[in-house]
Amino acid sequence: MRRRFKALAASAAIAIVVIIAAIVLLATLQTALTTESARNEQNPLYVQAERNVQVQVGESATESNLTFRVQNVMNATDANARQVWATYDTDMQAPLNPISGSNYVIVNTTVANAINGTSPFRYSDVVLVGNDGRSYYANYAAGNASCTASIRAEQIKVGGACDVYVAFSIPDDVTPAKVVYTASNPAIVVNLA
Amino acid sequence: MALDSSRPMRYAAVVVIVLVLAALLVPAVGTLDSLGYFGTKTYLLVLQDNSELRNTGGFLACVGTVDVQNGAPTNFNLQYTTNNSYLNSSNGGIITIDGPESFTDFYGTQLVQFRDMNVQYDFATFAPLCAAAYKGLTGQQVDGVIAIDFTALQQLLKTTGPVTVGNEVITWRNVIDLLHYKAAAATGAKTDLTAFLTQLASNLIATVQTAGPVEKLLLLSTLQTLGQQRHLLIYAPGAPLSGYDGAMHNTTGDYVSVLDSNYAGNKADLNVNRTLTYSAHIEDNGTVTSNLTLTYQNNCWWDYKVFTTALVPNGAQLLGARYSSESLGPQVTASDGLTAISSWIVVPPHTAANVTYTYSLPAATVGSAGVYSHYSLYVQKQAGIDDYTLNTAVTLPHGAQLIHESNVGNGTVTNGDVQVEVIYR
Repeated sequence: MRRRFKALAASAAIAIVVIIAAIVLLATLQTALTTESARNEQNPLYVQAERNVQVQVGESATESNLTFRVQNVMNATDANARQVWATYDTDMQAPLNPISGSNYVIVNTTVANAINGTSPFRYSDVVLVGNDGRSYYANYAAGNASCTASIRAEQIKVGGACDVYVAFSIPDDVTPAKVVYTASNPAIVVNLA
Repeated sequence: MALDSSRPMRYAAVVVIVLVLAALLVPAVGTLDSLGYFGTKTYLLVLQDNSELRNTGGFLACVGTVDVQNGAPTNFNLQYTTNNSYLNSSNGGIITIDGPESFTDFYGTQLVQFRDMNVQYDFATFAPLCAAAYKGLTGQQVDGVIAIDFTALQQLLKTTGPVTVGNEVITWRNVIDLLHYKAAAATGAKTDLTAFLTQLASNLIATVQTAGPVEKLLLLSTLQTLGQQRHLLIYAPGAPLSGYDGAMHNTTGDYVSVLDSNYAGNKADLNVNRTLTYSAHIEDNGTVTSNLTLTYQNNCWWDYKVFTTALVPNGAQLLGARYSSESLGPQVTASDGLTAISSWIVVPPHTAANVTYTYSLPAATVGSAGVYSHYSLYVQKQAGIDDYTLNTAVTLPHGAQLIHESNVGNGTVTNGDVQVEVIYR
């Protein structure tokens, strides 16, 4: 009788240990999943190129094949920004209503061909850096008909210049700190503060 | 003698064990077969743009095939539906559909473009028709159909983190806009939408294959959620994936499923908020009088034009319809064991518009057991919609006493189906 009781107690103890271990394992797994999910949701940290030139809003910098200038940085709720989009985005593809917890920032840049030949330009090489130190990548680009053709062809003709409006989606609690043209060497860093 | 008497019991035990093993193994074999472990399987891959809603989730932006071999997808071959370049026929991708009547009667046609052919009420019905149509247009036979929408791509990137395609960094923040941009810029663009998508898919798969176990578990969880929310739909005959085929829910009680199609409202649907307000008045004789109000808040700067079909129980009698804006309808049709009430509604920019249907339901909608009566309502979410607000109210017959209720009330924002239950006597 006593032996049977001991065996029963041992079995119960093992069962309790197994249940506790399973709970701890599940909790650890859940924490790992949550941490991983939160980490992957964030945009990558901005790593500044070793070679770079720093300018302010309204200043031009010419590097590699291109002259790059940031004219203005607007919130998409700004009436002027909406007017720009309504004028240029005639396909009605970009309602610019942000995803929950985020907003759109529109960067108005002027890019000009600086060489005696066709200059490559990709709007996706324009990166916005937030005050959280993270890189945000372009969602859309728009311009007038001629510039839209240049943007789509990813090149600017000899002597050509374009006003390009590039839209970025950033979290509500982040403000734009820098705009970086990453395709030139050195990179062009426009400080917005 | 004792051995002989226990023999039937032993045989029975063996039979039971064999049956249990078969019940476990047959689905496993089906799943392994679907995953290409017994030979390569080819699936029709459909990318549904849920910012331009259709009944099964969205405009068919891209179609193509993917091979699955030993559990790994390979050989993506995607085509942009708008240019019809993938067709092996000279009819311009026109398909003849034989229903549902709610669509064919309203639009007065049975001819649709392949990219617009998802007019059926659910993916489970659409998928085999789509596979047959694809075979007719291209000559290619497929083993099943997999559909994902733009929200699914966004959620997958949220799970994996950024992926680089060419020189572009694709994140969950920019993927939907980039797809729209590349679709709109298809003419004259250097980067082709299908090439972009093929590369994105390949890079996503490579990211997953090199991921650690925690990331793989996270991805599995995301895929399951996407399936439950009908952003990922799978039609694979023979495989035990019935929960992922988007089939309409079978119920003997009350039922509402609202299917919206945006044939002329551009890429608007991710910027339209939907509210479904439903009140059921249970009459003393057991019949039900229902008021269903569909409200659309249009956050775009252009008119949102929606063809909306409310699927309600068979035998429903429409008593009236009220509209708050420009509209056409209502049209009442019956098919697939349901009554369909359809309208076309215009929602001006930055405003809300609604339609209210009043209809009666037969007494059989309310069940009874002894002195207790049971009213149940199943609200089924349309594939492709991210979420909607649900308001429900149930009024009991005179003198009835409420015993239990669940999911009755206002302001429930949900991304799935909702089961409403009321028990009274």
